Amino acid sequence: MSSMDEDRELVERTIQGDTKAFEMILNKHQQPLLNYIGRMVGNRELALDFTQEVFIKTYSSLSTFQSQFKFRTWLFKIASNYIIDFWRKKKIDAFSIDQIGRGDDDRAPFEIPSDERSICSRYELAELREKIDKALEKLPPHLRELFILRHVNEFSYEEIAEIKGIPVGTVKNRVFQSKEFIRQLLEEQK
Amino acid sequence: MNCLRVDQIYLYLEGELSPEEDRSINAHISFCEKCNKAVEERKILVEASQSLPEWEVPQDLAQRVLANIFPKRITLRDWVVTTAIGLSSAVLAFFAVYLVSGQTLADLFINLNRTALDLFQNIVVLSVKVAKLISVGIQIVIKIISLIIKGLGSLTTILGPEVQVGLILVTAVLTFLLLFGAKRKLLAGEKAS
Repeated sequence: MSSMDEDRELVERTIQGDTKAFEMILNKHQQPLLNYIGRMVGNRELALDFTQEVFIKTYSSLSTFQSQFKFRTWLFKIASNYIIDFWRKKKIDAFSIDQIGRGDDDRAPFEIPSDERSICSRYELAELREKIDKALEKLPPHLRELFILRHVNEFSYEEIAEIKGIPVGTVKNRVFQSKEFIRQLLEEQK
Repeated sequence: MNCLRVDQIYLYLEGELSPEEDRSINAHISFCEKCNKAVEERKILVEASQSLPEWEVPQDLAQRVLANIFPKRITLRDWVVTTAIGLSSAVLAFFAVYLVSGQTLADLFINLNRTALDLFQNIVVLSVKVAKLISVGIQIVIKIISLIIKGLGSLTTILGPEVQVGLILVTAVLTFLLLFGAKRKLLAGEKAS
């Protein structure tokens, strides 16, 4: 049984009142969801609270889930909206809500500079991972989110486009921008 | 083929291009040192990005969520079990006292009754005293407040500042006397009982 079919079956069973099935959903998705929310909010306690809230919201909305879609995508859409709502209520402009769905203002050069320096090869893998995690905190949230969805949660570009409700081309462009932004930050740190 | 664009390199590394595009990029980087170097650089970045450390999930996270969604209800069975345990503990304790004290069952019952009665009497006396104390306290507070209100009313309209100060002093003395009287009244009540 594929992961998608398994999720669908678990959702069906949960709707019919099987709490064990929902527990299985929780066990399966809690790690990827915490990886995403944690890196988005940058605070462990807040991340744990949000993860719980997102699961509770997901449970209460299960009856509206359309089985032709992937459960995982739907879950992350709820999580993404939850975080945006939180920042909106807190009146934090950092999420760049206005930038979502608009054109791309952040432009990394498409051409490879002739004098480009090697940055990543200077670090050991473990050290590089640590540096990337730190650099992520400095990334504009709308770029950080797409980077996490793509590289930490390993969603396809199409799935990310569905989660965020933006065109695939925009997603590809922003994910590329985010990686170049990180390279730039790594260079500044050096 | 021209030199690669950065976005193209990422799509190549992530396997997002067609086999044809992959072949042409492979051919290009085999002879273009600048593009080859750029690909290698970003390959390291992509690999590291895909293996970032995971956030540690608390072992009870799923249980916490479930407890929020399905709060545990106390069933009739829970009540019955708890009551049964309580009653059997009381019976066991009674027999333990019976065995240890060496008294007859009748004596034990009489002693238990006496202890319970003493306890009840003490609680009743204590409650009456506390109630008395509270009622006297309330009366005193009411008197003081009414005196202050009256005093303030007349002070501000009729009297000069020197007289006002004198009256405040008198009020303070009266308040003290009232408290003293209350204390005496309480003590008298205690002696009478």
